[in-house]
Amino acid sequence: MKKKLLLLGLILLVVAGWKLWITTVELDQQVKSQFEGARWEIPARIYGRPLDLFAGKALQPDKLRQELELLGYQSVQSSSLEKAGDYLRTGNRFFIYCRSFTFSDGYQPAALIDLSFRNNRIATLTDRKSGDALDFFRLEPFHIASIYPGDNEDRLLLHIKKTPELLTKTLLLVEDRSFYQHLGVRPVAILRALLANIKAGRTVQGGSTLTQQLVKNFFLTNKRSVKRKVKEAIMAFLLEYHYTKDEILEAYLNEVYMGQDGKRAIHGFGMAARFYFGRKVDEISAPQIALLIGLVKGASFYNPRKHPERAKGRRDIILQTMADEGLLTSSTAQWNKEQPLGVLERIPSGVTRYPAFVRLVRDQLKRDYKDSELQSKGLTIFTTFDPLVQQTAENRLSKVLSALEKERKMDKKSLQGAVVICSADQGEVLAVVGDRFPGHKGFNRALDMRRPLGSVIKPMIYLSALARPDQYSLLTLLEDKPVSIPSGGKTWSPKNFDKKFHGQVPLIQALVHSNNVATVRLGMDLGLDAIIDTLRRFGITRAIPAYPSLLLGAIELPPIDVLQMYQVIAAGGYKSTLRAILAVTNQQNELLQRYPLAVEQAAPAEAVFCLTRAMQEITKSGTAASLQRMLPSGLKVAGKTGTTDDLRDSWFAGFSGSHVMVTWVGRDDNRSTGLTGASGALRVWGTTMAAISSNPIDNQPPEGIEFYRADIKAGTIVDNSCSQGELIPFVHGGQLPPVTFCGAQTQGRTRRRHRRTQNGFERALEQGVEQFLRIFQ
Amino acid sequence: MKCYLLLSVTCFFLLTLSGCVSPRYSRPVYRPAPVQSPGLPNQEKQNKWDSVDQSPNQNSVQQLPRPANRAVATFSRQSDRQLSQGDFNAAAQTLERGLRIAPKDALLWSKLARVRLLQHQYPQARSLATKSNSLARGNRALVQLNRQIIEQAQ
Repeated sequence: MKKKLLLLGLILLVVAGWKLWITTVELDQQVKSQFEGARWEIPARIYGRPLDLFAGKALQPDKLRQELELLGYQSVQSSSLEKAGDYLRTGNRFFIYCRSFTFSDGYQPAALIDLSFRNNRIATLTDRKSGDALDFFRLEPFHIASIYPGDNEDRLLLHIKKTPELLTKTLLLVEDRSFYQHLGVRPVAILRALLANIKAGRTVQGGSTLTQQLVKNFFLTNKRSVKRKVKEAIMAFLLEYHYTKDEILEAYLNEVYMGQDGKRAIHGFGMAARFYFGRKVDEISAPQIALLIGLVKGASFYNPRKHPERAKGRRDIILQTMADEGLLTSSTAQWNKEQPLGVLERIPSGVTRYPAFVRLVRDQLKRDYKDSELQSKGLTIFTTFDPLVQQTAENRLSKVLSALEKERKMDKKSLQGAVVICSADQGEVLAVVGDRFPGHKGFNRALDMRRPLGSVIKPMIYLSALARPDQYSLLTLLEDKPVSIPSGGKTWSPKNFDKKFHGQVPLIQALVHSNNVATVRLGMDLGLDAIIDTLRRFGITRAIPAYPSLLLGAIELPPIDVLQMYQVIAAGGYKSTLRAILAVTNQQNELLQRYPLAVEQAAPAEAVFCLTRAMQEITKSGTAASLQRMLPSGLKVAGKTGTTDDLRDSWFAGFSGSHVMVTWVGRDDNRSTGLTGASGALRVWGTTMAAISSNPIDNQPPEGIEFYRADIKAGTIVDNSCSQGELIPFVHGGQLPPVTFCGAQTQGRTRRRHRRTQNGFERALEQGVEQFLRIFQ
Repeated sequence: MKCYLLLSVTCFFLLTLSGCVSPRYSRPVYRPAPVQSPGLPNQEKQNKWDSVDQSPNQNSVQQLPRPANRAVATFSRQSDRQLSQGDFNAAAQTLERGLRIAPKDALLWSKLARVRLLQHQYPQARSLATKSNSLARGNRALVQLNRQIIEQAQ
């Protein structure tokens, strides 16, 4: 009997041993497969542009302060800036301890810079430590958004070598003092904890090592069972067998749960430092380290935003432990205990505040990356986003719409709007506002809305004409008389906004005063195909209906497409396809892809120069003349208003020397707003343009432009002996209008120029004849 | 009577003279000379309205435009270094940074055109050189440089 029992026991032991061996082998495979390579799905992080700093840059001191606050820099009062992420402002002087950052073109170390302003420009920029003048410095870019994996875990990976020693030492002190001695489990500690818990009747003590905690979080569930506990111990042992202590500690630092922000789970000390203090982990102070380590015990229970007293109590215990173990002096610990928690009041939300721009980025990313790559590979996406310009546009749109509703006694929140802004020469998209409440993630009017353009399309028609300098100049007389055009079995008779006809109108005046009839006649003379060809070359890829009503903007496009068209004009005829992304790097900061600047000539520079002259006149004496009251003096801009039937859509599109902007105001139900382009969208455009640092239009003529003094209203050039007349550009060798003399009538009719074919005798003769005619006039 | 006679003689004289003028024109029209471009410094005005074709010797007299500020000069030098090391992508990226600061700097556009030429991106090289010319403010040396790029990129 005894032998039988012994045999049975032996068999059971063998079976159990076999089972344990099988389980161990399976767990070993699981440990290795999950722990090797990419351990976590790391969200892609999207950054805006870095703020460039250099002597001579136009920048208001308050804008710099705004940027620093956005970046989470903390204003300090003493001149001893201790940590990266601090700054001190004294009037027009800033001392900034800039953070290190790895850009797509390399690493920039942290630096303490000294910056002074004069007349809203950076006057000096020096490295505080060396005292050397800096040619250039850039602040790290603003984090706009992350693209999260399915489990919504957000983390910033830390490397053990770059983690502050105080943090790791304190962590081990609090969570696992014998970490570097044990083999993954501490049987004595488990037994002790078990006894203590049985005695108390509840869980009062934990016996898990740091490795076991990591195993529980990384490989297992929170389910409490003996089987899971055994698995946990085996896996902890296996983990210790395969990997070094530092690798395990690093994994723990990145895996541990540290808090919650809605759906987003905050994991690891790297993200926790950002989430609670807006700083990198190597920038946080001793009491901040203590607070974070306190959260390991229970991130919800000790949540410093919800339960500050509890959190402070826990922090102070840890500070005392640090002092007891010699990591801090007693006096320092005591002083730190008296410090407030220093947690950011505004949570750096994982939900982007700029969904409209992020949509544009994601649309462009989709061409090159799968969703799964964006959610898991820890990519860094560098974009063209300018937070200062974006915030200004959002703010002005909201204010102007509220003011319009109040002035015109409309229902509150009945108006909607959109704003898109890019750089003039590079087509880099700086801001996208798709809703008057910009945080709303709903309908993105800047990108998805299709609305008829109205007169905003007219510059494309006039450019099509000016691109034929042998036929058209800015002073070519256009017919503004009743016209009937057969279209779709009906007859279309366009009217002017003022319901009048004006006879013959110089081309520039027809555009400046947005004359419909003259424009339609001009467009029909040029041919719809020519207009469509211009639109195509200016970047419109959508279907364009070849109806005569196209000439008055019957085509429906989103604001972003209008921005592309106007970018070409602003850049002197050179199209740069709108870009929101500059570069993408991987987790190791290696460059994966660049989105380089590319230009393509879409229209003759001379024709665009003439058009720009006319469009500047629109903002001085035409339909957009009210801009002069909104903009700072000297800021030369060009633009065009647009209004659609029944005043449903109010548009303004235009540019300065450095920025192109398109604004739209209307209603989502497509009812009349009672607003023209000038009374609605123009106000948003003007107030926004006035508030961003923008350069005036340069007015530098390209080769092949010559100027004549002209009587714009009469559509003639005037003799040089006359002092009056405005300078009007003409394409060299192109058509010239008739000439008038001071106080005289027009001489001759419009004709082709022929100067280059004339010899000196002919010219002298012509001039002699003209003088003769003048005498007898 | 005398007046009518004078007028008749004058008309005859005029008609005879007008027959000497090229037959393409039915009526001669007085045209003033073009006014010089507004806003250009004198030196540049002079250059701008000079004859287009220039000999290489004349070109060498005029220097390339200077950078607008120290930051732009730094980027310009840095891109030269990167180019000499054969790092075309880095040079292009540096020039793009410079253009963000000084988007109307014709020399930076020209340098970018040169980089694209070396990368065998010929259509881009031509476009960028043409763009540089449109901003060159009549700087003959730069225009000549861009012409060479355009020719090599054909």
